[in-house]
Amino acid sequence: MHSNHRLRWISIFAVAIASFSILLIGSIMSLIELFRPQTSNLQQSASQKAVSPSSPTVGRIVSLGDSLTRGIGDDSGKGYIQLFREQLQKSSKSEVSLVNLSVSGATSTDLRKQISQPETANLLKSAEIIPLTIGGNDLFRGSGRLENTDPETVEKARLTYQENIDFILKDIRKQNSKATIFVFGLYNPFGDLSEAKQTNEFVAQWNQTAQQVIAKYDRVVFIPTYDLFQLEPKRYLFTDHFHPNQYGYQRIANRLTQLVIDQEGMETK
Amino acid sequence: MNQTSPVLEVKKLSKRIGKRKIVEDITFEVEKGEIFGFLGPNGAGKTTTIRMLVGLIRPTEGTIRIGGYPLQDQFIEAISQIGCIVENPELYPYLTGRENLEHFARMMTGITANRINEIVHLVELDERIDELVKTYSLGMRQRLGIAQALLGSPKILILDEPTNGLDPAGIRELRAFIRKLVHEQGISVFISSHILHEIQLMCDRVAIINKGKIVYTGPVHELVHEEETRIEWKLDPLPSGADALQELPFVRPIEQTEEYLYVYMPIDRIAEANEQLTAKQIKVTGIRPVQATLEDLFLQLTGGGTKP
Amino acid sequence: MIGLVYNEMLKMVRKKRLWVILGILVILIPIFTYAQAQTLERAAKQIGTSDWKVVLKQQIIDQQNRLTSSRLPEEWKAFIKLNIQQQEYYLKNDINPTAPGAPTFMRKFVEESVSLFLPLLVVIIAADLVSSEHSSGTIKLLLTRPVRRWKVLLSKYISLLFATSFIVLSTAILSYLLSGVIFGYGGWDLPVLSGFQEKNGALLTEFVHLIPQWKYLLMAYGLSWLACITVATVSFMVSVLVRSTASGMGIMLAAVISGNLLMQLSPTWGAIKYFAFTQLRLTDYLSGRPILIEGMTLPLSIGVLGAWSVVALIIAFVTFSRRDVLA
Repeated sequence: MHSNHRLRWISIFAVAIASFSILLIGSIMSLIELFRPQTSNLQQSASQKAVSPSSPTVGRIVSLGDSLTRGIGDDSGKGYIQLFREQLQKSSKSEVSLVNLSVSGATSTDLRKQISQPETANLLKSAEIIPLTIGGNDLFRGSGRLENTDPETVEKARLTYQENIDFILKDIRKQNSKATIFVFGLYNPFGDLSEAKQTNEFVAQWNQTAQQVIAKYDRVVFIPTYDLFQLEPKRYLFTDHFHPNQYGYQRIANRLTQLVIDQEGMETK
Repeated sequence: MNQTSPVLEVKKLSKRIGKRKIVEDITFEVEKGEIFGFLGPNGAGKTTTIRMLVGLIRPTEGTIRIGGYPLQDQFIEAISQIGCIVENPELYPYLTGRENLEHFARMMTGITANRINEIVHLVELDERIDELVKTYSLGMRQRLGIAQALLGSPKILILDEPTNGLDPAGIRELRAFIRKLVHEQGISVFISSHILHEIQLMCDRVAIINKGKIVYTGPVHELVHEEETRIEWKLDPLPSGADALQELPFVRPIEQTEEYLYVYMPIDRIAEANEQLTAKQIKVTGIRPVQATLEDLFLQLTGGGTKP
Repeated sequence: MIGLVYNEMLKMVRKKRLWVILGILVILIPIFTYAQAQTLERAAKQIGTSDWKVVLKQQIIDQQNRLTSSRLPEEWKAFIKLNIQQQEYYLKNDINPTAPGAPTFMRKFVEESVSLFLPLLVVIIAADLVSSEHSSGTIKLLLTRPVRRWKVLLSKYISLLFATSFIVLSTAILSYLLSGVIFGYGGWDLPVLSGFQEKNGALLTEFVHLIPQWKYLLMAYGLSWLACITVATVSFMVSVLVRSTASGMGIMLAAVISGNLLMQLSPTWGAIKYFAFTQLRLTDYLSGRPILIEGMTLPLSIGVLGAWSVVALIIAFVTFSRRDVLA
């Protein structure tokens, strides 16, 4: 009875004081840490690590580009890239990894910057399939949407686009000489409007530009999308009249699937 | 402590809350070894006064001295002399009886395990003391409450309505216990109650409080005049019988209901009154002395013979 | 005094509140662990790899995409931008911010629970510490002893500090033991980055340095303990002022929850900085997680929490030692 009593007394106080002290020490340490910041000790450790970079075991698809690759406008949120991945998984009966590096609203200049980041480069190294959509924002948004049909400005944007896409492809090739790169062409979302003649001309011009650049590289495939939206833009475009809807994306995905899966068939033979 | 000074001395005690005067100008003393009753109807200010005595409420005016120490200025010394149960004996139900006592013992100095055992034995809780208080009956809680009050060997025990909720056997037991305590240990007891009869049975002296003021202080035996007992008569026929009875010089009427007549009269003259009624052909079917109530007492004290 | 503190701790232990709190932890931590494991698994599945660099890169890109949404309020944009910068810094320095393991879970758990979950646990024991003595009537026995009232209250406060420490430490220990079943028990020595600072919407990395995870954890739990003590102290005051357990508990729950809501709903309203319950996220200063409310700094947070605690204690002690015990 008595020793029991004493034991309870001691254990209650021991637990209480121990937890109080540990946390008190922790809080004092953190306040010292936060109020008197140490200078960075990272340079060293970062360089140490650089000696043995962990090469990421990245999967096969690394997608780049703008809102089209993001899937904006698709109610299911998948976009062509997820649809494509699903189909590929079905046919190959295995998991296909996908890293989607696209950023909504990206122009070719943005993509050029992103490509130069070391981490993006790392991811590209181990990719096998690199789908990419770019240029739509350069043409329709960067040059002030279609109110601005000043041919001079558009021409200026086209030259930048040409230079960027060349840089991008060169850079990807530098990182990865084997992967197949699929570059999607532009389509004209305004094909049913009064200025259609003018915009059609621009889109055709830009697509030609892209194709010319692409021709310089091995294993880079140009996939046209212009034709897909030409006849019935309303049916395949989202309500914003700019992005494809899910049917539009399905059509784009089908094109890519067709190319890749055929190719796969060839390779397995 | 001065041997001759009273154990509890209350002078001109008042408490106001806002503009309301709860208690006004209360003065009384409790001597050593005395059982002091504090009588008053509910809402008269009894509980407020008791709470002031034990330091739970600050008086607006007046002084309280316990064992010679002023409560306000020397709280520790003064409160050490007191053991109290204010209202119900509320202890920690999730602790055992012994743990409760140990809990309060740690708040005082010099209470040993032996002292606790002694007290437990005194209140006859030896068998159940190591069980949780929530398993106790009300009577056992009452006894445990007294045990905690006695723990510090106080000079005065303050009990607020101690018989509340107890059955008649429990009340008798408590009464005997208090008597024993005073007799054996020489401590003073201050008991509040709203039942006159209880105070009559237990106390030596009494202070009566009504509407926040003391209306009477003095020995209990002077309180109720034996010659003025309340008697209940059942007569047939009642109206003429009432008239006949009221003609007698020693009878003071109180009230008349459809069945009974209540009067004040000396108890030793009942036979005489009965004879008078029989002589006038009135049948007496019942005579009964009635326990005086606090209400009667107020009537007496204010000198009125009619209903207030 | 030791006797008085022991009294209060004994009552706390015997009242079973502490055990209820441990029970809550034992039930909820496995749920959080499972949820965390699921999230990691799903992210890995989505991308097709569990390589943390890829996952992190994808997170950065996803956040960049959120930034392009025009509906996002400016302060959220600033928050996300800083977050991206920090994640890029982790990536650049080859340090995994979410290396799997029970210690990493402990870290994430305290960072997430410091503003709401832990304070609520503290409120459970603190909000009726004094008012329960009133509602059970035992206050009358407690205050008619030869002990000054302030000492009675102080003993309660000390025991509350002990109980708060016990809760915080138990959270740490239980989250380690329980999450380790899934994540493994290793990872105390993993490097963690600390020392991020923000200036005009840009992340300063000048003072960023590595600390071992165990040290980081000690500091993070220490900071959450400071936040919990403030909550405990304010609850303590409420339990002195309010007699009913239910209303005391209600007031404190409302205060803690509204502090969290205010932080989310109106980060631009500068005045909320001075409300103690918006300042509980002290661990953010350690992790460098961007702070939504403009103008929040560590000295300000510590100052606000400290000021609230001191004022609450003064009110509690003055009221308790002066007030009449009427019912």
